[in-house]
Amino acid sequence: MNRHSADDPIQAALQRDDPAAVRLLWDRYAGDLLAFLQALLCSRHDAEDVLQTVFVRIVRKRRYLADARSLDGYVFQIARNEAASFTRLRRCPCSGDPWLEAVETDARPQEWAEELQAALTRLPQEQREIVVLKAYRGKTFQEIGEMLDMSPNTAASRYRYGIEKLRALLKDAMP
Amino acid sequence: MNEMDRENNEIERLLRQAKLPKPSAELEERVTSAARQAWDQAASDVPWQIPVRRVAISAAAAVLMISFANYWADRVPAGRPTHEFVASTVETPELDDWLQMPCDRLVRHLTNRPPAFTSATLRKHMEKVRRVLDESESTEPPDAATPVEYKSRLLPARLNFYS
Repeated sequence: MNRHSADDPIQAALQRDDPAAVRLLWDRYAGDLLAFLQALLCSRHDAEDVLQTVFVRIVRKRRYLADARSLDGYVFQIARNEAASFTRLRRCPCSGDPWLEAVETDARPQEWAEELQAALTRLPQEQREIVVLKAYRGKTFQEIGEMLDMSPNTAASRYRYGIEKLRALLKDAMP
Repeated sequence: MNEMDRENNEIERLLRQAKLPKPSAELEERVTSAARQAWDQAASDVPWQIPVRRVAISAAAAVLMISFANYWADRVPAGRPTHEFVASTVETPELDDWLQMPCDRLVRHLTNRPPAFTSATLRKHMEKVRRVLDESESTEPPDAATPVEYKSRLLPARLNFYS
């Protein structure tokens, strides 16, 4: 996941000052960043607004990103900072706006997704972001560690604590 | 432990029964167009101009601060009340007051000291020098074994101007 700056097509495009880097950045990071921002902000609408700010910020800082040792770490740190700024202005950690959807093929209705979302919202942020990236984006602990600038062991232990807390919160929903 | 793992696996299975929506095409268009607009705005910034601009801003800020400091330095003394400078116009204390000061011995010595050179003291000193010279001419040459410095009378050992 962590590529050398010379080999990374995004960093190569940034070094050339090629606007095609915007498309490459979107293709690689949009889905993960949106999931991460939804986990931080607990709102799809707010996450989309902040995602736009994050991309604008990335473009303005492209000269630094072009030589960054860890592009993933840099991009996700920008996203975390922007989410923190947005939360400070909003003054409310979570808005209650729906951000999870029920799987269409599943028998469970949308209420289940809302119940799961409420349980996730009650997790500490550092556990919630890892649970979301692991469960919904299929990231490994190694990849999450590189994204969020932490060791894979820390990511794994936070994930385990998050799952145990979710188990307590969803005890009634479990078969 | 196995029971806990089983329950955790069940939680993970339950999590997968919901999903996060993918970024929509509308969102993609909105975000990428905003990013491209920001790219075009920032494209005019040539890399070498960034440090030059920072230096120029720092220099302008320094000039502004110095001008502001000078302006206030000029204004503040003029605005001060005059009684703060009374100390500069205080008269010299009387001699008796000086003598009461902790350094009174030094002051007393200075005040009792006669003028250094007068015509009378200079004449007296010249007479004394002439007398010593006359005496030295009339006496015999010093013994070679005796150190010169103990026998020389060319000049008085101590010039007492005030006696």
